Amino acid sequence: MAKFTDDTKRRLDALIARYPTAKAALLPALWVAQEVYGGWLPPEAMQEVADHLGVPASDVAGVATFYTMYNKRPVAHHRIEICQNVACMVNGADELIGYCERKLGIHAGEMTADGTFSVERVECLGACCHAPALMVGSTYYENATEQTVDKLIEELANMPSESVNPPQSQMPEQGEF
Amino acid sequence: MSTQNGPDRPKTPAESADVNKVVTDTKAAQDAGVPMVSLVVDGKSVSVPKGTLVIEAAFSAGSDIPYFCYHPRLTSVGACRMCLASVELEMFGQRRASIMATCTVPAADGMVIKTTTPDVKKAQNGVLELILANHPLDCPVCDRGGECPLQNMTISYGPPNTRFIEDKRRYVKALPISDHVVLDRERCITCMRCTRFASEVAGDSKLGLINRGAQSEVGPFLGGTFDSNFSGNTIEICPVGALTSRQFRFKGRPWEVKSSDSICTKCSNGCNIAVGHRMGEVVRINGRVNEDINEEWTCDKGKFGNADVNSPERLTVPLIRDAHGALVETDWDTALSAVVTNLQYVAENYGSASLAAIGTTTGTVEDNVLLNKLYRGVYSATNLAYQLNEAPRRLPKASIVSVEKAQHIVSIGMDLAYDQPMYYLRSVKAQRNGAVVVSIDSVIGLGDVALTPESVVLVPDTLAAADYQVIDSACSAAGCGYSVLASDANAYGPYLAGLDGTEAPSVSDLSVGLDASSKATDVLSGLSAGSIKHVFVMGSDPVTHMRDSRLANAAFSSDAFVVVTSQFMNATTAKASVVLPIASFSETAGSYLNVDGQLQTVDAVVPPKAGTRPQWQVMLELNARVGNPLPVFTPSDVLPAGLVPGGSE
Repeated sequence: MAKFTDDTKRRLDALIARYPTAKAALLPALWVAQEVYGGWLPPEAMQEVADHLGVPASDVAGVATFYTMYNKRPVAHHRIEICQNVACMVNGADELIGYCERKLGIHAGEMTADGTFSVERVECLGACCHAPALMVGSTYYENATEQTVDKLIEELANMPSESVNPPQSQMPEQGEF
Repeated sequence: MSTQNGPDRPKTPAESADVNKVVTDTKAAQDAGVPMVSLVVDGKSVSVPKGTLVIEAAFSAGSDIPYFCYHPRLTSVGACRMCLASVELEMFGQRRASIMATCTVPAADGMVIKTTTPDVKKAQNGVLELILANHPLDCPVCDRGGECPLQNMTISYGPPNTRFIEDKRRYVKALPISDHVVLDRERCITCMRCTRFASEVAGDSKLGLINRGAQSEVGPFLGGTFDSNFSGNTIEICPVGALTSRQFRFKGRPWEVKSSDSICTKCSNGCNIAVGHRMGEVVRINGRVNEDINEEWTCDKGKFGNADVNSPERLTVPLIRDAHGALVETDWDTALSAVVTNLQYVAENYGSASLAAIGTTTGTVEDNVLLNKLYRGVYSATNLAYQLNEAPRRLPKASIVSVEKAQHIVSIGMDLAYDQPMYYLRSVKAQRNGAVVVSIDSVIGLGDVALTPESVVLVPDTLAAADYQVIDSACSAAGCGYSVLASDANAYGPYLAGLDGTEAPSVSDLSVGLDASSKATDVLSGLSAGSIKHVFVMGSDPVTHMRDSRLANAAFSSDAFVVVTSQFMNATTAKASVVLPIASFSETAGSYLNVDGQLQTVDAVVPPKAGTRPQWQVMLELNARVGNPLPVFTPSDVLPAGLVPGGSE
């Protein structure tokens, strides 16, 4: 079932226009597809990107599977991404991850049975000065503690999901990346 | 760890082909006036055309560099790192030597290459140790074992042991990814030969590389199958046993398989193949180099389809129609006697005008010569035909090789990849160089195609006569002409054999085009009208293949005596009076004229299947029985003067 609307295709065409070849627009095109497909890239999404860009589907799959930030499996509505790199680790990231795991009853990398939350170990979020840091959607929570997580989960439980992708406004319509 | 090199090793056929290809390309570039660069490889000075890779320059200097991912017909990616050698060149004002992947470095003036220093050996050892770290070494149950580049390179360049004691990565073994190919990702060294073949040569990108690092794996697009008509080639170019043939799987160890040169007869392209046979049975088909036809590739129809020579459906006993009208088994002597008796009876009582024969466009030229000697030579019969289709009889304007230089290619009414695989592969090459390739289903679409004098129009030989008129006028108006591509392996063999009465048939006359009709319709009309009482149908199936199936059905439902030679039962044998079981392409010697006019001669590879006989021997016997003994010992004895038995390289 194709999910690309005319609007999606217009967005893709705008991206393609920025590059010398359509193939070069593959990475941002996959971001768009991931957004349209609810936060992840099923094979159909890759096929649609391939068809629209005129690139072999096997090449699209190669790129999409190379990068970890393209999700190849369905994702939770709210993804709690906790930095595990050095600064956060020495400031208690492991304990924080363990707390989330116990509180939600899942392991890092899994999502809750109702699909509301997941906990994920991620690489450096660039917030070392306020470690430990975590991110939900595009919102940062710095100097995070168990109380931060409690509050967060309480608030998010009843909120609609936020896009897992960078909001469109952050992606320049014109100019260079 | 030892850095000793292994024993000197003769090159495998695949490696020799690679080296020869490099030499050929070097000559071609020299002839084209490409500027030369001079460098020194292992103390020997060589000049190579600019753009030649260092590994290729080393080959032309007679040095050996091990490699897996490098392939002379694919772009370089430097994926395996095996081809490391010391490259000394001027950098930042001083000469430096460093170890480089020579398949990615173009040769330059003043370079000094060393392939045998201790440093180079250590580097090559190291790369092989890393490649083998994740390789399962299940060689005893691997079809590639014995002809495996990884084994060969390890013997010559590898370390004697491994320091890797951790767990190797595990995948599902023997994963079928198509009807023909099995994938074993544990064995894969991610050299990307297969994925590059798929995107660059086959042009369909049906294989890709997913994930990254040690998790990288090749495969068809997520959840799909490897449905390409050229999938079999990836089995041959895979430098390990990651892609193997489902057909050949566990059929024998490679060193038990003898390889004999032959020509594929599944279509008209005449691809050069090496038939692998074990104890008299054909077990696999590999490609063989012929730069004018198939380079080194095969299509799946040729590579896997030829297994039908082992089919239990093959006819192995002559059949004769009994008094009750049923086809029953008989022996060769009875069958041949029945043919001769009827032939002589009809000739004496009704005259030669009542005799007819339809020559073979799938058998050899020699088969047709002997058919002609019997019917025209002994009985002066003139109702001899061979053409079942309605196409103009003319060799194509565009040869297989010429298509890769074309700018605009239009194919009408065929699946080029399946019907004319080598034309298709050249069109992919052309497309990569910027050509526009258009495929239309029928002549109806022709009006929408803007033809220019440079357009190459490819047309099958199976269209209706009226379609050729439409194409002819459209192409004449554009000034481009068109090429009719024959379907059968030897479409003009009967003409070369003189079957249509031409005194001195020649390939050059075929290029111009033939006027004289040799359409089977005349014979079939005579049959249905009752004027023809005896017809010999050699190796073809007019009831299935005539466009006018009503005529064909009527013709073969008449009272005439019908002799059919065939490997299998078909619609025509079902209506025959006598059916003679004949040998397959691999069991008979002879010559074939391919689609663009190249004559190729081959020997039999294996003995005829028990009970069958080569067609030329059958015709020899019939000639002898009617009192025309021929001093023939091999098929080439009867090749018409002026035809030079062709070289397959």
